[in-house]
Amino acid sequence: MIKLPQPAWFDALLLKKHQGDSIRLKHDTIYVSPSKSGLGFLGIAVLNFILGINYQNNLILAVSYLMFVMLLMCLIYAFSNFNGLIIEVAAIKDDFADKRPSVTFKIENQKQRYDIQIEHIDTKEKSILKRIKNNEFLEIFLPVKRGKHKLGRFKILTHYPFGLVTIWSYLISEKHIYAYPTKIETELPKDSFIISEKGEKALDDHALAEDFNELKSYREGMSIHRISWRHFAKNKELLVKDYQSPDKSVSFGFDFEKVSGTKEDKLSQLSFLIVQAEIEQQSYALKLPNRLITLNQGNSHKKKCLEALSEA
Amino acid sequence: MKLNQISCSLIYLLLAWIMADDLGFVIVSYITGLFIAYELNRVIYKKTITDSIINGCALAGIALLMGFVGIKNSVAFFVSMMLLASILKIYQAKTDRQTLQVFVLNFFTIPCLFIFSQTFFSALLVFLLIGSNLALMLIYQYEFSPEEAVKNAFSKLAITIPVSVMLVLFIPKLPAFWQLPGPNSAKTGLSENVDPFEISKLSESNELVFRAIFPKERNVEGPFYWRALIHDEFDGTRWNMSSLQSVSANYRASDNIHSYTIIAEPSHLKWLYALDKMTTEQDLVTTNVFGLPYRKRPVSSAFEYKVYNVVDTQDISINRWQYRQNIQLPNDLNPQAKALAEQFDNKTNDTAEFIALFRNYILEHGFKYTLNPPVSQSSNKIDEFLFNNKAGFCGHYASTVAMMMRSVGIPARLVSGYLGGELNTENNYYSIYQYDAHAWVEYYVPNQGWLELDPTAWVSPERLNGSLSQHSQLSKELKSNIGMTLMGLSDVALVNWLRLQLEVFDYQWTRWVLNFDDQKQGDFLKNIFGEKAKMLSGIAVIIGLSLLFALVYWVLQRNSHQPAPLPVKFLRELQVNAVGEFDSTKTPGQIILLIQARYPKLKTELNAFLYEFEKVRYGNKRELTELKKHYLALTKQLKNNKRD
Repeated sequence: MIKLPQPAWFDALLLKKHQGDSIRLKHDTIYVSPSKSGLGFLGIAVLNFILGINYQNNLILAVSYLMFVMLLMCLIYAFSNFNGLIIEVAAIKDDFADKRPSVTFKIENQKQRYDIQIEHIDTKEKSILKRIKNNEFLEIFLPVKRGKHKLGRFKILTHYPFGLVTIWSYLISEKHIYAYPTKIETELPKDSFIISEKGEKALDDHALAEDFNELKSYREGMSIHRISWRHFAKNKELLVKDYQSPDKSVSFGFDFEKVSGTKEDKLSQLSFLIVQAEIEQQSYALKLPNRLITLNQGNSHKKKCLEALSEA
Repeated sequence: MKLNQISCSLIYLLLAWIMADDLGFVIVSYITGLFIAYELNRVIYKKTITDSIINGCALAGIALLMGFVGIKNSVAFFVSMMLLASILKIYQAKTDRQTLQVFVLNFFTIPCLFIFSQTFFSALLVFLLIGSNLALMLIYQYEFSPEEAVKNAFSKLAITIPVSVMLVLFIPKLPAFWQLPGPNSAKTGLSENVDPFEISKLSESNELVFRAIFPKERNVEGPFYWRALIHDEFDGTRWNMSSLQSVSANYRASDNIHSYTIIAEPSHLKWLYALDKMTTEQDLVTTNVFGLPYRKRPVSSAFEYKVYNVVDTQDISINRWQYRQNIQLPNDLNPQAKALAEQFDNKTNDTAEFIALFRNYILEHGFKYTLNPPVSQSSNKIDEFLFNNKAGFCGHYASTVAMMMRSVGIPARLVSGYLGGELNTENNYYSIYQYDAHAWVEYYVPNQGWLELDPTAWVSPERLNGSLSQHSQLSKELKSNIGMTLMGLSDVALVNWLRLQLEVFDYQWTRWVLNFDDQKQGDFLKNIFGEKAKMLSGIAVIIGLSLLFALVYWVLQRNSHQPAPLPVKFLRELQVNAVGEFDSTKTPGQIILLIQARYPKLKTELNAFLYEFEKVRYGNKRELTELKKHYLALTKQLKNNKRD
């Protein structure tokens, strides 16, 4: 489509009509125009008209009129293909920036429709349903940078039938999506403080080192920090120190200042540490320059920490 | 991708072969060759086609076009180039955009057929091809199955056809504002120079040349000599077109009533047809000094003109220059014929006697009419004909008579045109075909002017009336020359009936579809709208279109709403009656409970309704009447309860 400069009042009007997490497509929220191919089609109709007039050839003239009528009919067909749909933001999946967070739309529908496309305007990411008959879900992956993003504008469009017209509408969502920092593998910082269950005393890494119950063989996904390198040196066997006892459960405090690198690197490393701690079912706290998340564990805690990292 | 390429290229191939006569065999073969090469490669060799191969093919194609079609023949050149470019483009197209562009361009390529042919069958073919193109667009873009796509595309196309026909009828016509080059069609027909002795077999064509429509009330009788061209330059064997042929002259119509109407078919010549000296009000047609109509450029599509007889202002005397032009003759050729003419001249006193003598000579010496004359090698062709072969067609007889008249000082010239025509009694019109082509003589008599003489009629008097197809003796010869067509098979009664039906259909098609010009439209609109026809028709078009689109929209929307089943409607009504508003989120059971809470008295009735409701919804549809009874009873009681 041709991008026209949009005046402020137009933006305001759009916002008023299309803001929200769901939209019902009807006559006052649907916009129509010929597509690029449609403009070509129109050009050829005009060309046929000129030929028909100048050769005084009624048949070529009829073809030209047929093309004009066809284009108008396409607008109606496309409108009817669109009208009555309800598009709703059904789920927002936050994820690490490199794994592509996504939005899922629910499309409420009771009849046969074709070529329903949803495009995220900022990222130009697009998903297409070639044909639908009932309610349908449509997921769009958003390749956004680390951070907290407003979902913003989505363009819902169709070219059906024949691709000669574009019929579209907008959905402007105020909801947010988080792109967590991409994980970068890192060692647990030596001087990162480890707090006992009561949170009183800071121990250092070494104190803990010998304090494990048993050795298990290494499986993929386990933290490499828990590998007993002494055993490896002796037997060439990868064994993992298992700290099982709830009394002796360890807690980590991850501090923005204690990891090295640029800001993004630091965030990425923290992101990795948090995920690892969660896998190992350990409690952890997170300290960022402007924020402190106290000791806890579990999925919602992890989400909270990762969101904090995204926003940092 | 495969389907698009094959179907698109088949469309181009079909178009190319249908227009083969106009585009030239070389180009059509080249396009066919491209198609075969591409398909072979796709199936067997499986090599990738690079852009440089495509460009090479395009360059070769343009070279062929330059060589065999030529830029001068601009329309054929252009259409060939369109076809060539389209087929190469569809082979080259890699992205969706490019493919879609080709599909859109097809809306221009396909109707190009109408430049060359405007028959009903061409129209049908273009309709089918455009429908297929739309179907291909659906298959390509939305993964429709072919069957589904064809159904979808043609149903959409079918709605637009009547609308566009209405538009052609009602939108006021614009005059042509540019002169576009017409197609140079290579059709058989009259030629500007007549040389009967070069032709061994008169290859007759059953192509329609024109139709002449006589007013119903007027009873006209043949023979009809449709004049088209005057030849007054003779070089011993060949009669060349007169240099005055394209000199226009003003004639005044003798009365206000036209005597007949001609619908001329497309032709590569600009010369038209009339019985006598004529004039017409049609702007495109001019009258020359011989009183014959012609156009400024060749006729590229069928058109019609009304013929008015004229006041003959021609002097019954001719000037010296004209006299000399019409007795001009090469000196040294055909000595025997000249001697014979001299002999006739000495025996007679005037031209009429001269002709009578000549007629007797022809009849007595066993001259024959044939469409397959023997070829003569001699340079004295007329001597050869007159004294050895004694068989020929109209050109031979006319040529001989005119030459002999000239040799004794009687001004004479050859006229070519058509003789007769096939009468359609139902609509009172004559169809004149290429095989009706004829040549005859006009000679000058002082104080009388130019007179007509048809020496062919001496040997073949039947030829005078009706068409050659109705000529019993010659029709066999004619049919063998025409070949396997409906005409050739007209002995079979059914085939002949079919041929005549098609002919009538084609007549109506030409008259009302192809020749629907601004004049006819004006009459048509005046009949409907009266005086302010043009403006009113414009308004009618706009209103009609809006109504139509509203209707289409309404139909489309109606389908999208599924009506609620009757039991559900009952339930809703009950809820609205009892609670005041309808709540779609609740189950039927919840709704009944809700009403019950409000009207505890109705408990049993409500439960009975629910029972019946479920019975109907989940099982027996026939018990709807029972449910209806319950529903009516309930609404009544609700009302009563409300009053309490």
